[in-house]
Amino acid sequence: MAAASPLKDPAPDQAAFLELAIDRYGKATYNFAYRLTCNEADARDLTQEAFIRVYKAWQSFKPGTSFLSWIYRIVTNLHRDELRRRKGRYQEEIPDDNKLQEFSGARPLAVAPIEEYVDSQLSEPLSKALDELGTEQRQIVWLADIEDYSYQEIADIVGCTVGTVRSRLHRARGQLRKLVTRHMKSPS
Amino acid sequence: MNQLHPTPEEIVDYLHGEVSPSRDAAIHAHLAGCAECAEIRDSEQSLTEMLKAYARAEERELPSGVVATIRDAVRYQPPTLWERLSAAFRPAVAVPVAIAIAAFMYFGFRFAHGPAAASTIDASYYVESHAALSGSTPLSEDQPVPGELTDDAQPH
Repeated sequence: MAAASPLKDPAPDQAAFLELAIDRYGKATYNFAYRLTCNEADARDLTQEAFIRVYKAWQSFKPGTSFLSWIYRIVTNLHRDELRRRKGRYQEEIPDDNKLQEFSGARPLAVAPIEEYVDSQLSEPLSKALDELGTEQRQIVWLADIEDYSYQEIADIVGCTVGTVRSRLHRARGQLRKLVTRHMKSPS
Repeated sequence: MNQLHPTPEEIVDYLHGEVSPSRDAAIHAHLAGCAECAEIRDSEQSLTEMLKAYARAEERELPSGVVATIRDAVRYQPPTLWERLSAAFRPAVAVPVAIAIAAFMYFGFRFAHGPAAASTIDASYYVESHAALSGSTPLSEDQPVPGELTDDAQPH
C-alpha cells in the first residue's frame, strides 16, 4: 500500500477555476502587481497571494462580472496591507525565472512606430518617472491609460470615489510629464 | 480664460470617455475648430500612447515559479473550520460520537443524581436497621440500657 500523501487534492471545480484564472489572467495580474511594487520579488509574492485568495474565495466570484477587476482589487488590497505592515520598502534578490518578455513575430502596424520611439528614446525616462510616482497615482495611471478602465471601475478597484480617481489621474499625468522631461534632460 | 475652452483636465476626461454625452459633443466640436485645445488634446493623447507602448514593451511573462508556488500552496491549505466540522460530522465518526455522548449523558445523569436519592434511602435504612438490630440483639453494647427505657423499673 502506498504511503499516505500529505497533499490534499483540491476540489475539481475549485482547482479548474484556479487553473483557468492563472491561465487567462496570471500574466496581467503579475504585470499589474509589478507596476504597483516596482520590484519583481514583491510582484511575485503579491501575485501568489492574490491567486491563493482567489482559490479560497472562488465561490464568491459572480459569473458575468470582470474577473480582472476582482483580482486587481485583491492585489490592491494586499499591496496596501503589505505597505502598512512594512511602512517602507525592501528589495529582494530576483529569481532566475523572471525575465523580460521577448517579442516574437511582427508587432501591429498601428503601434509599431510609437513602440520603437518609446524603446529607443523614452523607455528609460518613462520607467524612472513611473517608479517615482506615488503608488496610488501609478496605479491609477496604469488602470486608466494602459488597461482602459473607466473611472468608476477604477474607483471600485482602488476603493475610492470617482472624484478621487479623476483628481489623482490629473495630478499623476501632470507629474509624469514633468518627471519624463526631467529624466530626458538629465539621464543618469 | 475663455469659458468656451475646455480645461486640460476636461480634455483628459474627454479622452478617457468620462464626460457626459452632451459635453462630449461640445468638446468634440470645439476641438475641431480650436488649434490651441487640439494641441493639448494631442499632447495628452500622445502621453497615453507612450504609456501603452511602454507597457507593451515592458510586459513580463508570469514566472513559472509563481504558478508552481500557487499550486503547492493551495494543496497545502490547512482545512477551514467548516471543513473540520464537516469532517467531524461524517456518519462514520458521528455515530460513535453520538453513542458516546448519549452514554455519557445517561450515566453522568445517574451519577450526578445518585447521591441525593441515596441519602433518603440511607435515612430510612438506618431507622429500620436500628429497630431490627435492637430487636435481635437487645444486649448489644450499642443498645440503650433497658431500665432507662421503662418508667416502671424497680430500684435495687
